[in-house]
Amino acid sequence: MTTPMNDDEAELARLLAEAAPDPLEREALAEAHRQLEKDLLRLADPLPPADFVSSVMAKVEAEPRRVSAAEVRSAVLIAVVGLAASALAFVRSGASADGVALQLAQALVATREVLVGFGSGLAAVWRTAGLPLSVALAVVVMVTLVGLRRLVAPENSKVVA
Amino acid sequence: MSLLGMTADTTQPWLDEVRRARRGDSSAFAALVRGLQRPVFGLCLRLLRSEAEATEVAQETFLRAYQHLERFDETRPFDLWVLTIARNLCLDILRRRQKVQTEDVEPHAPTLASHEPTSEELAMASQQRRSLEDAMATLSDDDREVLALYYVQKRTTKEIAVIMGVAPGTIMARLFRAREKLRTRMTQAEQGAA
Repeated sequence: MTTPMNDDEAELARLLAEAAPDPLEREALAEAHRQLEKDLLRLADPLPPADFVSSVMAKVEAEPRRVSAAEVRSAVLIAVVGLAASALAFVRSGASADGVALQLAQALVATREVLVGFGSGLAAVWRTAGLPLSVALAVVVMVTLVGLRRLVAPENSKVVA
Repeated sequence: MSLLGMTADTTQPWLDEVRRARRGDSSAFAALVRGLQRPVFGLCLRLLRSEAEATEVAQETFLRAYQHLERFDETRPFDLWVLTIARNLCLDILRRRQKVQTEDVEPHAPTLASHEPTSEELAMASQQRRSLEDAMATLSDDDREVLALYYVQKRTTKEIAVIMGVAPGTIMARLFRAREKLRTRMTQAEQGAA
């Protein structure tokens, strides 16, 4: 009794028949292919260089961390919930839109007065002690920049021999 | 394995590591690299025939995989996804090579060794392997690729079809034609040596 051929077997038989119409020649070809397969199956993939994994991981570590979709979803959810809670608190406090606009206008006027006052004070100090003020400001800015640089990239602050 | 021996493996051994890597666990990604470095590097080497380029492309493959880990479809095997990335990167390089008509290709035979060298049969086996590798090196990129995936990496025809982006029904014919070309080249080489 013969077993039915699957698609691959049928395809192989067809290819062999196409390549070698004569039955004896076909059998010889099939045998040559079987022998070749044995040799091919003995081949193995070579190992990559020993530092391969560490090199890949160094590149991976150098990559900026990608924000995942789940993190974006969480951020949007927090923002929406925060806004909704604020709106709810506003409505429940009984404040009207007119009252809010008035408070906003008052805050703007107060801010303007503070800024004008600060400018006047600064101008007065500049007139009386311009040079000491410039030096003091320059020192503050420099110290702040150096401090920030050390915080951001500590390796940049090392002294190279 | 015979002429028609391999069956499909539907398990996904890398899924746990992929999920942990997605959550930012770099040790999980390192485990993925360790597990797949050999087939990825092997495929790159077979296609590019340059150890330096193969190393670079294999590293780039894992970097791309890491960058696009979120896009990986968990219903598909991770190793096939990575091999597809590697293949595409290799094909880009091969296309560029064809454009500039580069002919001086670095031989890779010394690195393609068997996994079971024995002292008694080493010389003969080594010679046979070398002949086979030399003959394989003369085949086209497509032929080398299909032979490497099927016989060296023991992939199924369905897996090869996924990696190469072709219909599974065409793989047997490709394999047969590649074997036939290989057999012809080896016969010619033997006759030339005699």
